[in-house]
Amino acid sequence: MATTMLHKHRVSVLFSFGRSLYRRINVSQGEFGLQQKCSAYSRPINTLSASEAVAEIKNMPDESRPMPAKKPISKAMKAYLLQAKNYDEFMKKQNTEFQIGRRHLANIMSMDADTMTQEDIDQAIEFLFPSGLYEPRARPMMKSPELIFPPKKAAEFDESGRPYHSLFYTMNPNFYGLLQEAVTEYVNLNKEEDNMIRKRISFNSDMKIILSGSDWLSQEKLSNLLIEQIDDAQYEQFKNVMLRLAEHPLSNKVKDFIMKYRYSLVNEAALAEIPKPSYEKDGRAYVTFKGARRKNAYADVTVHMPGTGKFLINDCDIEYFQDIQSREQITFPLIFTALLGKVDVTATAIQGGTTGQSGAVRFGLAMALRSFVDDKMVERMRLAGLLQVDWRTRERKKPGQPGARRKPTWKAR
Amino acid sequence: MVPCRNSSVRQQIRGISKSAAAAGNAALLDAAHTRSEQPGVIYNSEPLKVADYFGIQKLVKVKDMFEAKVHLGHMEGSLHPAMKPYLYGSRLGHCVFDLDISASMLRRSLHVLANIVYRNGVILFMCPPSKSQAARATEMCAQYCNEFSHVRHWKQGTFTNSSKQFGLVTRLPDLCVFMGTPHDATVECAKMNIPTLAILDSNADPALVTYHIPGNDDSMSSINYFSKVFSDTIKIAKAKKKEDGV
Repeated sequence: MATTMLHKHRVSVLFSFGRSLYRRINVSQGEFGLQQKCSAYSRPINTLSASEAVAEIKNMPDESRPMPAKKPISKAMKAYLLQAKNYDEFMKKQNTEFQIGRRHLANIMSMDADTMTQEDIDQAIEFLFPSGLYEPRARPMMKSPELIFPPKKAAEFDESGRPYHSLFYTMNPNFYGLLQEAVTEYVNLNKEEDNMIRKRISFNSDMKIILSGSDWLSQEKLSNLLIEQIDDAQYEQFKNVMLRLAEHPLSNKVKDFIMKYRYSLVNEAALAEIPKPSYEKDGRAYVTFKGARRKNAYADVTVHMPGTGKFLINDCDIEYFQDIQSREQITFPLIFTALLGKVDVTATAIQGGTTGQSGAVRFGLAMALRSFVDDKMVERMRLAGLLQVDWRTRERKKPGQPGARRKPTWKAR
Repeated sequence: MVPCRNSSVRQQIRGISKSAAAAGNAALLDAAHTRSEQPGVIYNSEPLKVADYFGIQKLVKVKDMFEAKVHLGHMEGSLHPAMKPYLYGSRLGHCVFDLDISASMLRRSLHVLANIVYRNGVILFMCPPSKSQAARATEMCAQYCNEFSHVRHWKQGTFTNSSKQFGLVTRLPDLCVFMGTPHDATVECAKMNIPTLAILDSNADPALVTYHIPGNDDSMSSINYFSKVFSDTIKIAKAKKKEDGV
């Protein structure tokens, strides 16, 4: 009996799961794009619940029987209310199905359905339906319908069908609103510039915004920010308008506005946590950086300050590296920060070859040296690429060809 | 100056505008329509019975128009034959509009605009994307009077295929005001039976436009003048609507 029950449960879960997978595929192919478009320039529905929508539909004036003359509802609003009602009903159904599936899954995995988290569900699905598909989104999944179906837009117009946004008819009101805002800022800056010229106030370079170290938001990110689909031409237009604003001699005054649409290239989190030096018994400061890597090599590097320029790499001095290039590699951070001969370097490098080990030591050394230089030098080191991990590794050889990319010499016959 | 010869429309409108201003009664104003009156149109509404219900006729002054350089047209060579009746003549090879005609046509257009606003109409201000100098003035004009604007690339089917394009049944505007022509939307307006109101320069084709306003649509001074007149009219009509409690 118990086995049958379990079997039955499993079948139904499979069934419900199979359907949700089917739905998911559907979504990724057509519906998703369509609903994305629908959700453009919109706020998610949070004001209109299913019951409210149903009530509003019921209250809608019926053509067949005359209703007392109330506020007339436009065709547009009627269509919207109907759509909202359908969407709510659809989501309700999906949610019920999901809850049933979740309970079955909990039974199979002998877990408590009430305390089962999304993480547990993911693990269970991975265990029950192992998939070797490369794309994670193509693998089986079971998620709350809110996470799978994008939110629908709330109405963008009132009962009479009159839109709320002045640029509604452009179909991208948020995007074109942004451009309009940028132009308004530009016009205001121009006025200020005229004023300054009239009062003979001189300009200096601090008044202009510095764009280095940051870049414009990508097309996708901008689309998400504005909740609107933006095409290539519009993205170009955005960049042109914003660049024009940024090149204004007084552009620093609108820094907040410009930086809203830029992201920082510096990994601030990584750079912010520069470790404070520890101290040996003899009073020398030291910093250790562990797990520096390059190719297949790993290195732990300790820097002592003050020092005399000694190197100790795997219990050898600098002659551990026999070729000049590797020695240049490990001395470069010291030369760059002008600390050559002022610190001692102790390193252990494992695995990999000469280039890998020296590269790993170089990176670890540069990261450790941040604790002994000022912020300006850290920024210079970042710009020189010293604080950037080199993630490149050797590409594997492919069968049927002599190397990773190289093909056999072609012969006619 | 080389005056335009043989322009009956011009004579007609000039005559009417003068007498309308003098007498100010509804009958003459009705006659001021260049097209024959449509049968079946009932003039039973109060704002339609009174000649200048909103008091907007005084907004239009020929002197202001002249100062805003509304009279300046394009080169003679680019003149559209249909715009010939609205010309005063040409000077140094450039067309010059007859501001008396322009003023009277502008007054009529404002009358239409005010009446549509009075009846809760949606007004959409447009200018072709190629006329970038007018874009900001147009958008600001629409925002100032809480109406709508579209000065960007015109997607084919915005009106004719609106429910697909907007993803939902959408209320289309009740009047489109063009701050410059040619514009792709004039065709769609004509197809969807949306009345249009356009500033027409001497090289413009007035065929698809319902209400013509002959005048310069390129200079900023002229564009600003028209923006101001349109937005003032809408504000007045909205105030009147509030006053009447419509």
